[in-house]
Amino acid sequence: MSAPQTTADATGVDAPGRPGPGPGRGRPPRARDASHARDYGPGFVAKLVLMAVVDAFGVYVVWSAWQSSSYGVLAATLVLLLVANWAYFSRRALPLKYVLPGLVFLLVYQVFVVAYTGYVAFTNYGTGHNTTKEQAVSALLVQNERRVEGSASVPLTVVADGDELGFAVVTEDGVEVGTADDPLAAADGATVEDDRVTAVPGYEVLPRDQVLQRQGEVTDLRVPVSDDPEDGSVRTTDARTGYVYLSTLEHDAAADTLTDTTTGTVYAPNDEGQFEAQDGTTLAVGWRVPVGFDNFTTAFGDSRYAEPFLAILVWTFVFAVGSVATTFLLGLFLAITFDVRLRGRRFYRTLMILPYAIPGFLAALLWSGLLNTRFGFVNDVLLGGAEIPWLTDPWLAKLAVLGVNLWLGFPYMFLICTGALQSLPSDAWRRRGSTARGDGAPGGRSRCRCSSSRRRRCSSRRSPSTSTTSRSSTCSPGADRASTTRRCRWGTPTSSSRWSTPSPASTGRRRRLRSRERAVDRRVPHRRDHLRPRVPRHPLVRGDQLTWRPPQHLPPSAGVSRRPRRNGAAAAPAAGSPSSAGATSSASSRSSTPRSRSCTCSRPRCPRTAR
Amino acid sequence: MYVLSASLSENGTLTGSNTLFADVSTANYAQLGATMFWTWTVNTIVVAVATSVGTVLMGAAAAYAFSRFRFTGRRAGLTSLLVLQMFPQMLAFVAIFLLLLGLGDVVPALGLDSKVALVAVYLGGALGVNTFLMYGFFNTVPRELDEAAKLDGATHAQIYWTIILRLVAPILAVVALLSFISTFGEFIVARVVLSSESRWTLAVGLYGWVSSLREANWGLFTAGAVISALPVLALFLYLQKYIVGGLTAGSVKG
Repeated sequence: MSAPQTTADATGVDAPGRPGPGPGRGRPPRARDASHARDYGPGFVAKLVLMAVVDAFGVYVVWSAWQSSSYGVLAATLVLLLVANWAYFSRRALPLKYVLPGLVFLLVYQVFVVAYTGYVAFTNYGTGHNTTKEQAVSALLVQNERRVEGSASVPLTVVADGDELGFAVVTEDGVEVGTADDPLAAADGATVEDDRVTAVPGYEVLPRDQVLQRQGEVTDLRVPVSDDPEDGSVRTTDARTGYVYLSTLEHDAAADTLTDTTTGTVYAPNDEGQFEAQDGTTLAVGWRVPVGFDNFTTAFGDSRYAEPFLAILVWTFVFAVGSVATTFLLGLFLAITFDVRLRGRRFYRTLMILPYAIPGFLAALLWSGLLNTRFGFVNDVLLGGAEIPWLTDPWLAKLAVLGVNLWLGFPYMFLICTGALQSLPSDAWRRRGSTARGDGAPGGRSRCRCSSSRRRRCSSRRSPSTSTTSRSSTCSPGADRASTTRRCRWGTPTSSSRWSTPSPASTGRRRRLRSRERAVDRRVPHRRDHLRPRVPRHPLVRGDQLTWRPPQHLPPSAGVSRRPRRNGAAAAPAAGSPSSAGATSSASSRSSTPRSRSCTCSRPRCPRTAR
Repeated sequence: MYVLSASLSENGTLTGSNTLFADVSTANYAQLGATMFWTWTVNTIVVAVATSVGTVLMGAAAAYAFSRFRFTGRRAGLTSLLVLQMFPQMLAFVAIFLLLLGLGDVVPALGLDSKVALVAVYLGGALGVNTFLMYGFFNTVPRELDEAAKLDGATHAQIYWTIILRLVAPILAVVALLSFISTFGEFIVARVVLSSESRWTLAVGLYGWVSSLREANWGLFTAGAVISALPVLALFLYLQKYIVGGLTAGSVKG
């Protein structure tokens, strides 16, 4: 823990200020000799300031959650705060420093939301059942208010606070003012003239003509007498006299029942989240209760729901598959088309992206206008006044949706394919092109084949760091720009893998696999390949595996060293064949002799066998 | 395909105005000024920029951690990210609404009808897929670069900010662009979260103009559509060199 401040990595190396609760500053994980907390550079200050802001916000949230007694929010905030502080001030939580900001949002707005959706699916949330029981009770009390027979009337004046209306009533104790949200409270300093309030501090007395204008609002206004809904409220019908309204329902908190004071009916809570009388009548406002699988039984059991649901589900799948297939094919086709050097390529590309630049909802609305049966552009102009019911006929509508989605979606695929095509080293084109052409493939075919196989491979590139540990497991999905997940057995090598040692468990199976793969990959194209006669390939070897693949992360210029070498030992790893990924130099030199024997290449003058 | 550019400058406000460029006028554009259009535009751009910046920062940080550090729960974390991103956020809008309702009681700025809340919701939803996209790209940056930098005495934060982020600029641009575009056009969540008209985004606002076919104001709508397509287009043109360039390939030479 003693911090030698003179270590090489402690000298004024600091992160720039970061916007947002970015990762904290710390040491490389292995530098355990020094505590980064003693390293007071600008980076540390930035972290401190950011954490102070985060903590201040967190404390504010905790405080106001306490105020509004939202204990769930309070607990969650507390936990998040503690974790954040621990992560950024601890030396042991290095990865967490980077993951945490995103993780917080993910947890709150995705994980929680997903879980909450799941929970709601098991409740009877919906109209009449969207609150808690307490809120339901007070809503019921309010809704069942009646004017109490013989209750005293009070002189009343309509006042306004901005847009909000309120009542000022004159009682024996003085003037009381309240609005729909604020219960009546004594107002000091109000002036009264002949039972009419003429001025209330904080409010303005509404003139008569405005009262008439807002008659509906005035008669609907309900000003509670106190915070307790059982105390009733003041209402008016003529804007001059107020009457106290009391609820006909009475809440018995001990027995948890509601009693109708006029009829004497007792309503008790039932399992469905409603108050129910003995005879089965229920009160309108209920609350949310878990209902188990009821929602699911309704959705799948009731044919009124189940049949449309199934039909929609099937169509959704068809739509998903169909639109992905069409957009991808069109995008790929266009990407390949525009990958060649072409005058105005930039312009065409921009044009291609245009549908993407228009927000999806706009395009959808626009198309709904264009496809309008009678006035739409498609029918009216393009089809010369035909009245094709694009959007009303069930099948045509589906076709139209697919078409519109194709229009909307192909730019994305175009972008992705362009990116993937451009990540191919340019000399691969040349080599592959010439090899393929030398093999008798027409230019277009070689391009398509090469590019598609290469793209397959780029998207299945493995993480370099896991090359020795997770050899036969799934590769990193979504590698490169394509976000597809694929399985691959072998990745392309990285320069780093040359330095990593195979785990002790490497051995037999792996080596067997490797030598098989190597046998395939050792067919390295030669400069004069195209001059050679074409011979049938080994039946066991797939065509596109025969050709050389360079490691994709290396720049094209590095390809110089990847040409087949004349001296045997160096040729093995430097050939850059994917099979030697992770093979240490010792392993490759050991196996160089047997490998040349195991070459299955059937070419007459394979560079290896000829040697 | 580009009929929209035709219908934009017409004066007629019905779908029936099908002759292209019959009468070119800027009346519709002038009329936009009388509506809330510009407020919506500003709202949308604020929300979209905030979302894409946040997405890039958080996604890149998470991807860096997943790609460079080995820690317990790494594989599990990656898998759960993959699973989580399968769940479309817009289907959960009921829960989002309820969550924001609850949060709004505590912090009004994070409640319903707030742009901050909308951005937060977007950020929550954007993380999964973007982290994966970036994770793949981060893996293609050779570790030697980090190691060399580490030997030279760089801290991990320095490696991250000055080396890795420079190298993965293309994918950052792509992610920023994608999240900007998707936020720009997002409708459902925006519709659910934002209730007052002055806080609507373009998607919500423009939808209101043409949602009812009877009184659809196509002239205004198309004018608005063209204007709202401009930011995305500009962004794309600006970022094109990043998207198109392969920066990583060039940096390994040293």
